[in-house]
Amino acid sequence: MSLSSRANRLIFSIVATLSASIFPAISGDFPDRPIQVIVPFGAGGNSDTIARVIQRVAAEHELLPQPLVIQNVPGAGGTIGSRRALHAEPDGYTLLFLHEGIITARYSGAASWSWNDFTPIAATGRNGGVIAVAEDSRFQNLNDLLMAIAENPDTVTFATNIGAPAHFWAMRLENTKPGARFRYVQSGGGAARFHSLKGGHVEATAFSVSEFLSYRDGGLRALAVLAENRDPVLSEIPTAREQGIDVVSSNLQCWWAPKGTSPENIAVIANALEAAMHTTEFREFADSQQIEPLFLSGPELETELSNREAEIAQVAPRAIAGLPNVPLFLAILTVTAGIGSFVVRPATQQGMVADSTLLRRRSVALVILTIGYVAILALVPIPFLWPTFVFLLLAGALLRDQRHSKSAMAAFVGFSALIAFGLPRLFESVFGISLP
Amino acid sequence: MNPDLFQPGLLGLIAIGTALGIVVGAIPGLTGAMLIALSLPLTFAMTGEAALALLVSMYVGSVSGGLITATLLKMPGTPASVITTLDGHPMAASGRPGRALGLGIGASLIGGLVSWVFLVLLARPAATWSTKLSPFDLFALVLVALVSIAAISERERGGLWRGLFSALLGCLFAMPGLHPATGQPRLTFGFVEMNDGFKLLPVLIGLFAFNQIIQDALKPSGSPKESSASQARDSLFLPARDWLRQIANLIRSSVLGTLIGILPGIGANVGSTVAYGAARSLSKEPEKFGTGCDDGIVASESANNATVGGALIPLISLGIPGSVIDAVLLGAFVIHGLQPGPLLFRNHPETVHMVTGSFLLANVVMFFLMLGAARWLVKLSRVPLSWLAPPVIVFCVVGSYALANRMFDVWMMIAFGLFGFIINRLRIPLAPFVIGFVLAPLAEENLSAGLMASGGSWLPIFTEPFALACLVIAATAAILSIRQSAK
Repeated sequence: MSLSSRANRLIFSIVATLSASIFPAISGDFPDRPIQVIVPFGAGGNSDTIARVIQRVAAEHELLPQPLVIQNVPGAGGTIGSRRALHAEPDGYTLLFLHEGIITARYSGAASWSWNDFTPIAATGRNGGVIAVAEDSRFQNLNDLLMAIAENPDTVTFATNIGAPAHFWAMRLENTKPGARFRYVQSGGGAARFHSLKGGHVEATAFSVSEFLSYRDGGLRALAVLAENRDPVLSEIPTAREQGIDVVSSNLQCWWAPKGTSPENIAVIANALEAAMHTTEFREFADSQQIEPLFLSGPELETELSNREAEIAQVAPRAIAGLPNVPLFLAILTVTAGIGSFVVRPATQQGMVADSTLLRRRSVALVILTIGYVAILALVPIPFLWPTFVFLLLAGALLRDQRHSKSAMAAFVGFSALIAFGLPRLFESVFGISLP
Repeated sequence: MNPDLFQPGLLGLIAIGTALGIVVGAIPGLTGAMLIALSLPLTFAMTGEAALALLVSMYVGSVSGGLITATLLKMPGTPASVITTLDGHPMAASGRPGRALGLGIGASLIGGLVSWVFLVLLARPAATWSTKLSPFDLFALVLVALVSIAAISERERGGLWRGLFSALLGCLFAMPGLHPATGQPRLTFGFVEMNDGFKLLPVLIGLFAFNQIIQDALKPSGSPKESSASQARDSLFLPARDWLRQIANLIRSSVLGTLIGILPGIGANVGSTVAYGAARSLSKEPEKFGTGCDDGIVASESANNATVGGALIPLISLGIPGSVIDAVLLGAFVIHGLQPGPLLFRNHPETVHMVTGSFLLANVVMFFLMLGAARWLVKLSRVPLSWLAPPVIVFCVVGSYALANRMFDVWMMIAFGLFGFIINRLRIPLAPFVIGFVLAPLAEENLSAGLMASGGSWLPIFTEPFALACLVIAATAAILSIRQSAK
């Protein structure tokens, strides 16, 4: 398992060394090659959008001598990408952009590492939280809601992504009233939560300020903002504190480096990020998305993160009982095996023509060739181009049906070269993906 | 419609987007979702409207392009055209590739046009209705889709069981990874890479592209399926009376596709599955399905294009994505400072018009591009295996790697290629596997959400009328096809 990531690291470092020797750095200043930023969510998501705006602003204003390269490593609530950054070389050339989910993943049990397994570089913005209900709800303010869940625990449904920061906001609200309990209902993104609320499938949920603004006209009522002060665009909505409930929370967008990255390199990146945040382009973007353009770095940021972790650690997600999980898997497995036992029969019984030995050897050879090709890409630190070219030629030779004329063979070699050379170009320049 | 749409620059963007979509849709291993996600950064420099016109065109093209490889090579370029292989390929192999492509392309256009009408008329009312579906209702709806896909692969005695076996295997493979509701890892056997489970793209590329290449290598050279499919040069244009005979099927399939597209989380593959099932059960000659009949191609291709228009309805009116591609499109809206939802209609009516207008134009452009390029693509399919297979394998490797920039997915792709090869040899159909694999997490998430809301009680599934109706439909469909296959 760690073989491939170790191999990737090896490739990356050797390619890096090679390219550094080809393009000698100007007196070895950091950075002398592009900086890879891991965004542990898919392209087009909220985090990806923010990272890409900063990347574009940094390039346009030449805030760094080298570009930031966004690499989307989505999956498993951000933990796949954060794990890759955790094990990356601490040289400042691999960074991670991940919000407070880095802490909540640890406390919900999805990850075994937390923020202090990284070196925090900077926080570039904060999304406020809003607790909302449908406009025809029986709850008029936050106290109505919390009284209801204290008097009748586990009756009021609350839509959230289990283990995400918003889930922890709700658990901290519960903590302010003894015995208070929501009944949590899994519900994905902001749109899905709006949908659950409007459809009457849940009674309450949490939104970020920007999500709330875009759904507000669909018939929502905000009970409280979880900020220290009222939000300028939502000035009519009281804070939780004003209603006597001491919960202040928000989602902090942070940049991380693997532990052990030198403080000088951290400072270079932090300064560039701060400068990016002061550009008009970023300001306009942050305004349009209701992101509070807060910048934190150094000890200030570490204090803030420690405080946040302490708040999150106060609450622990309850196990959700009654969900079909492994028993369901076993039940499906049993049924599948049952059906399979009389459905699966070897093909030869059905009167299929047996394959010729020659052709069988040919397809086995093709599979082995492919596995060898992928193994070389994964384990041997050479550029994508050469193994691909050789693979194309060998596979072509393996599959050719009769002796080709010389011109056809020449054409095939040219065709293979075009693909081997062209693909990495296409992916790197058009799609922004660097091939192995 | 917004007159701005007819700017030459925008028309060019729509043409480029549609053409790229068709190419990507036709290449197994590259999907529309990938193209759109990867093109998103390139649209930063454009206005929001231009970016959406480009991306919506790519969406339309990618759903349509798959039919060419599905028909000629039995390799669905996208999951949306899995069902098209059932009839498209037998027809092409029997010497009528032009007719098969012509039917598919024409049906795609009609499907797109019909769903456009729905998109323009129904955006608001339909979205209001879909929010009323509870998690249990959605769970029951997914069950209907699962049963119908299992029933479709039934062609001989015991076929339903083979289909069910395949669909259940798909469900099993979907379960490792993070629990869709609680986010806890399960069945990962200690491999952290497995926290994300088996991902759709490597599974799909392995099952449908890599597996196909291994099988092609097993066939005697000189007479691979695709060459017999491409030698005939019959016309792409069908006599008008053939189209007239399909009118009921076209309209029914397009409407079904649109309605299924509207439902959150259910994509083009389910649309074509349900329309195909409906066309067959209403047909006077159901035994002809799967052997290369007109009705099967028309049902599948009109429905899968119709789901695109259908899926745009909840996307623009509520901001709820109906499929992976719609989720990426949602990101495109946000990047350009536009938030789909009730506000969009009021604050940016021109954006709504741009999306619906470019959807319509992309369908028309798709029709002419595909008619023009189909001949060329027929020629392309005569390329010998030695020219075709090596680049396809390289595309498989690159495509699985580019998804999340990790080699683990490439190994998965190869493993699933071999797995698909084995279950094919055992005569287990692959399409139900993929549908089960896609739908299982959706079913489980909705079931979990329903159970969490009801405090662990299963009762609502039998008391909510819509859910109960779905269960009855699923049970009836299963019983009917068991009786049919036992005959």
